[in-house]
Amino acid sequence: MVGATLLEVSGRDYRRWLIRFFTFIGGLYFFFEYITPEAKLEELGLKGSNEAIINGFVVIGVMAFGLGICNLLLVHGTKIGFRRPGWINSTALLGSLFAMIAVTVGSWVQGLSLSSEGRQPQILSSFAKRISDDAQKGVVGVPSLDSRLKALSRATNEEIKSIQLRRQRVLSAGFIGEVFLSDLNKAVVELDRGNQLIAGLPTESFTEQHASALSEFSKLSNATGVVYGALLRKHGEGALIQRAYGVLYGGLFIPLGSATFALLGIYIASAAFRAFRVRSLESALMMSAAVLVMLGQIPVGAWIYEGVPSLGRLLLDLPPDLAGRLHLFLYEGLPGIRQWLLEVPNSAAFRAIRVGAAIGGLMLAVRMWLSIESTSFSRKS
Amino acid sequence: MIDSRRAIYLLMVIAVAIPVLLKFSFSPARMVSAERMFKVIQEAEVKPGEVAMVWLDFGPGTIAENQTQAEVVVEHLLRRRIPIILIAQYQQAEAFLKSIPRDIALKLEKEYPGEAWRYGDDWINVGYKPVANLFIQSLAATEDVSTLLAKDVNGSALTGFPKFAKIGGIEHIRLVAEVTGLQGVFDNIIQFFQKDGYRPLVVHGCTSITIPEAYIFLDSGQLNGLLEGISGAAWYSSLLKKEFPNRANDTTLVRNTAIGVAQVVILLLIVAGNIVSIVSRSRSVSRSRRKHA
Repeated sequence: MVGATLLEVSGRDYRRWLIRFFTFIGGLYFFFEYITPEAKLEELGLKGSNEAIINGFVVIGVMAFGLGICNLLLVHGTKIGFRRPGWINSTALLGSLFAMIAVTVGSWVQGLSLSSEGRQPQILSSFAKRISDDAQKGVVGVPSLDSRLKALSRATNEEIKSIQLRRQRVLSAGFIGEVFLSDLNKAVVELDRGNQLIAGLPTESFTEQHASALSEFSKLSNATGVVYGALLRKHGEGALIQRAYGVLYGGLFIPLGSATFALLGIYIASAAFRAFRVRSLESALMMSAAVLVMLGQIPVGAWIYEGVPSLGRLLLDLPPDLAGRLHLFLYEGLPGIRQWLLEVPNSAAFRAIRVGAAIGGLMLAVRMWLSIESTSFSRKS
Repeated sequence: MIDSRRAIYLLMVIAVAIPVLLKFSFSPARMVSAERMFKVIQEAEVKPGEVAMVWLDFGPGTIAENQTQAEVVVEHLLRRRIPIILIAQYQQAEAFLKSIPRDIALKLEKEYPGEAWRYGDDWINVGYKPVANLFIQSLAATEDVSTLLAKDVNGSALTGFPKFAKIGGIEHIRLVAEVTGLQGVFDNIIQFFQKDGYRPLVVHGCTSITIPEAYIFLDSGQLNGLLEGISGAAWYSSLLKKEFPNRANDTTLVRNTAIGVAQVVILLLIVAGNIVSIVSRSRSVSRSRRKHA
């Protein structure tokens, strides 16, 4: 409010001009960015900053979600607060919103905690790689090779214990497949082997033997991370919060949404009987095309042939040439006609529509870019 | 007495319910565009380090068509062991990004005892990406897709998944699949998912309503394969069965049969409506003639 007032000092609507200015600059930037070849962008040193600018716009887009929630709260909260007509529906809407937010946030937090646990072997892998890199580059100011190798070995032992503990908990929950468990066992044995390699290394100076052992360990630890992460995710699926999410999303939202959309089928059937009438040449053409496309999609002839065995027998009695042609027509003739209708007349018509819409869209974009179209921010509105 | 509208509603419910409840199915119609798509995925040469990107952009409203399409595409990619990045431009698809590959992996593990398909190795889920048209431009411009995506939906760094740790530019995304019934969503892929000298293999699963629009891209070669509604998914499913004979039957054929029966009912209703209209028109004409006479 204060900002808006400040932007309208001395009777001049600076806000409007500010919005127009940024709209124009934004449009100009994206226009030139789109038509400039990638090599030229790189030459001008704009490639990296372009990525950052695009990401910035994505962030602004995400803010719209927050804005949407604020708007919903304001509109429906007021309705509920003042008991205006329809306040019960508003309560249901806000109740569902909060329930879904709570469950989704819960599920997300659980996911984060499981992935953080599953990331441990990967952190060990990165640590092993770092030890090797630092020693090869002769980085100074880092702990000695001996103490780093000991720390890596100690942390790996702790991680193996932690994986085995989790494995016991998962086993007692009892919904993990054989393959999962045997893969995890193999991975832990391999990780332990990698750890033995580290523990057996001489500690005086860094050699080829160190590089090879650390690289091997890094690979094994990473592989363990993938298997362990998969196990944790599987275990997480049985958690209460995931079941609550399943009930709200899979048990309520999906069936309600599908049922609403399915009503269309019923209305189309009713409309087919009442409204699809052949009254002119054009409507007859349209109707024939629609019927042929539908018949091409559902091989009714083939279904009757398959569903009524006597027809199949009849077909066997026909001369082979005729039977072959009939079979071909039943299974491929109508789909072929449908294909032609979609590929030729339909594509031609749709291209014309798309070209027209694109020209209209271009005009609208230019008007918006130059702030001719929108009056949302004008003084009048 | 039941009025005609209610009778029609009842007829439709029965037409859809019978195949679903009795679980019977007929052969699907041959779909040339689905065959093209099958060939594209079956013959795609994906080198080590390359991946496929599957966009699932549908909600509960179109799951009957889009979910079956997504299932057959993901199944085929997993069978071929092509690493998949699952992603969405539509927030309502988020749950399907998790459930579809997980269920397919379980199905495959039953079919091939002793083998495993697992998250992080065969697929990753990077979740919903808002403002997709800008995000895809960013994806096309980046030098490393893994760095741009950074984390999966659970917050795990992609560096932890060896096959997805350092993908490189979009030229290493060999194949892009988009399953959606929404207007404009597929256009984002066609328009922005490319860079100088590189365009991925693009396949698309659309709802029956959006088939006419998708055909223009198929005809121009911008689209390499198309699944047309549930009929496309059903034909694709039968092609999978032919290629992998041990494959367990899925519900696609039953669903296709149910929708097909409903469409036959609609066709019959159109014919019946026209007959009723012609008869009533001829009656009114003869009545008015008699009146004038």
